[in-house]
Amino acid sequence: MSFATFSKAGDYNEFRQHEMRKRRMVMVDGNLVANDSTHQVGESARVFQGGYWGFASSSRPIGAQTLGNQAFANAKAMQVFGGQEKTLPTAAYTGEHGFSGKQNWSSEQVIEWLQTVNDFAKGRYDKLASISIVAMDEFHDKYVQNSVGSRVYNNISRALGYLIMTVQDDDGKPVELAEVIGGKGGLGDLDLSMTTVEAKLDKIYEHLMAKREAVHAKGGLQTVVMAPELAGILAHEAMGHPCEADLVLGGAVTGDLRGQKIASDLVTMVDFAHSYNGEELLMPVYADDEGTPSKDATLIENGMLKDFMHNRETAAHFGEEATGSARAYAPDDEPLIRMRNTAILPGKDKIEQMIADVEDGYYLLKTSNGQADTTTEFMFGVGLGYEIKNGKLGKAIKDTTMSGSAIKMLQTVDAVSDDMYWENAGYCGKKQPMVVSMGGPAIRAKAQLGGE
Amino acid sequence: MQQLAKDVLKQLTDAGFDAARVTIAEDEVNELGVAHNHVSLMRSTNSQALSLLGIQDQRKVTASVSSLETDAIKNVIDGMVRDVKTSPQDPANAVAPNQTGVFNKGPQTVDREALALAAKNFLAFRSSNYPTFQIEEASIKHSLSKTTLLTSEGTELVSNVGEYEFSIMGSSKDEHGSSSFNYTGGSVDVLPENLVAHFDLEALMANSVQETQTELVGDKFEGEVVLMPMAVMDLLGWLAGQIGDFALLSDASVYKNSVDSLVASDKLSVRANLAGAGVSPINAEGFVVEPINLIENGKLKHLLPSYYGSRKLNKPYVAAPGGWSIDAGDVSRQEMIASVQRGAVVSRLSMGSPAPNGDFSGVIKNSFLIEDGKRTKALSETMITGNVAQMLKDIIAISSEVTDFGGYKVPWLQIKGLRFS
Repeated sequence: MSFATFSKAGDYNEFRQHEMRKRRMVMVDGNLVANDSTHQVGESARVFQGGYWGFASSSRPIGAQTLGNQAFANAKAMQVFGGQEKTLPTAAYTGEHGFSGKQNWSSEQVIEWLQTVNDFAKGRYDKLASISIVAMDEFHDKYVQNSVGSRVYNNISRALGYLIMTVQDDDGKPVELAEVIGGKGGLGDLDLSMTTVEAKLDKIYEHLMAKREAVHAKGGLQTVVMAPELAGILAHEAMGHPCEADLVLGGAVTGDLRGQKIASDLVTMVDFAHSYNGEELLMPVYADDEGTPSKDATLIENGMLKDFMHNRETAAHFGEEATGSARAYAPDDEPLIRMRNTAILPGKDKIEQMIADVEDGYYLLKTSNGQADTTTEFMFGVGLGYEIKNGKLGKAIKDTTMSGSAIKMLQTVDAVSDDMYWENAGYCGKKQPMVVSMGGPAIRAKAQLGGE
Repeated sequence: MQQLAKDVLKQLTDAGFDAARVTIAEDEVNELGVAHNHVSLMRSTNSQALSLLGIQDQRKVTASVSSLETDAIKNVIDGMVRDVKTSPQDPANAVAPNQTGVFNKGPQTVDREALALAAKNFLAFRSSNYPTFQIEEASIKHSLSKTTLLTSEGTELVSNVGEYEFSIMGSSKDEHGSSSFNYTGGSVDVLPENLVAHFDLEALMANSVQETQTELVGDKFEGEVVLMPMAVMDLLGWLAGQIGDFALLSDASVYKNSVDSLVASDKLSVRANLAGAGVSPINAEGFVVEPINLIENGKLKHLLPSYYGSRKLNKPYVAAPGGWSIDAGDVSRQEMIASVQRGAVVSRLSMGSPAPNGDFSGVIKNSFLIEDGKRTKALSETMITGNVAQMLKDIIAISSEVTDFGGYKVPWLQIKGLRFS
């Protein structure tokens, strides 16, 4: 792949060549149940004409001109709905950004690692009922050009190793916990050494032994200390999605709250484009799939709702600068507004003291999936947590759900730790999946828990 | 494509694989996208993929590539030959034997004018009847999926499945505030001019405009839920996970020994919906799907491991379809609500994945409180806690009305014993 000559028909036009390589291996109790690799290559053209978009893509190399003409024809066909005058921002970017990591692991190395981890766990933990180990990496190479002069090469890559252990409680019911090792690049770039893996497995097993005896959390409004691993998903689900400008246009409550105080002074939340504190982040986006130069979007600053994330079209609607947030997951996907590296910024508190100050509450350590809402009412599953009684950790709690109005909850934040934890596991779902990263410190607040 | 599939199958066996599977998929999609109450995008995509599975000396490897060029295919097979040697031996690895058939289902060509007309009518209906309902995103599309699947064990399948699909996500906004978002959608063989009569679409908008003013549930209590179809599908999704490969192979399924046992209320029967719009007549493993009854009067009739999983666990294999139908009950939706002393009618469950044992707590969204048989205020920040396996057993009524989403046909379920907070 490389840059190509392409059709510049329409008011605005872009052309993307996209190569996606993915690998996934899954071992369940020593059985290799998946050993998959996929290689998808495609080209797409998108044209903006008279206020409407036309998009065309093909996995066959039929050429930029042909695809551009198809996209233009699609945009013109939309004029039956009545044309509109809209002018898109013209910011352009030229640059090439890739990740130069270590040599990636071969399939043989990955399978050997899976087997080694399986054998180690089976030999070490006497109450282990099952262990599943997943190794996956994916690489996206994109060449994006447009009619306003952008020429961008982006490489996004990430690798993940999941360790999932199951034991049985006294009633024979399964109790499960997972840990992830993730990072930029391929599996060869991760620290998958047995020293690291052993430490993580020991920790999971220790938590599982506690979770076998878990009690139900008390339902209702509770004081919770969220570990740094949870702050990122809180940022992403609770206020990240409602600050995507397309969701704002879709009726999100944030549309009426800009400039207003919606959180404690301690809360600042940013969707970083590519770097934080001078270091490149896990999902660096220097220019998006519309060829727009990416910039940080400060969503909340000292408790005040500030900016939204934009593509070219929403930026035109709001009369603001595009933030370079438009990204497409697969070669035949059109770019949508997506988060990149969303985080709550660290404060000055110490996590140990944040727990010690709680008389009756919960320390929440691990989350499963989460969901946002136009109302900012969020939820995410809590897979691991402990009671806090008189400033000390107590019994583990059964799986529960944390939820509430993000605005109400963020207003109750009274402590933010000085930690910063980043993670790039999982997929964000919004018509298309997307790789994102999220981060944050420990946070203490009041939130709704599901339970007795 | 059949000839290419045969050629590639031969290349795999010539390369030393004892057994092999070749799948060539070609997809054509024409989609009209709606954003923020207006049509926004016309999208046409054409994609193809070649997916290969090879087994050598009981070792398995799979790969897929979007290019069907000779060199690309050779590269993939070379990679498979290299990688298969590193896989562990497993006698459960196998490919589908002796499945044959040619299937054509659903609309095979797109009517783009029908897409435009359906969009125009729907947007006009929203604008005149529910102007405060905001479409965040919707799409109307036609897709045609052509699949050719061959195995070295005599399987030769061709499937061409066309369907029209509709999906919508939106919320309401008025002087009181914003409602929670909600969504619906499904597939049809013939695109109607007026979509509002399908997929409970009008009910979704009618409820949504009432959800901009919500209240907290108040106190904690134990009550009943009346689950609308999208929430019912969450229950089916958990059940499918419990009887599928991952839970069975990791010995984490609560149903591993439950075939022919009661796992649900005897009111519940779940059957394969082979005729449903968009439901493929074949599965990805290379089997023709079967018209099975999954649950009959509360009894689980089958586990659904993959072909590999069934051989690994020495369990029977059934080729399950991608769509299910729940039998209608004998009470109307209105009678169902009228019978609830205290509880909620729940459109959507927002929750983390239930624990392997079924324990869950979730936020009920787009939901209304029921008090003394009457639907009253819209709720916010309300959670229910329970156990999904127990919920299936605690079904006390099933509605006579069933919504057809294409792949799924789903009634409302009335379930007792949930804790509200």
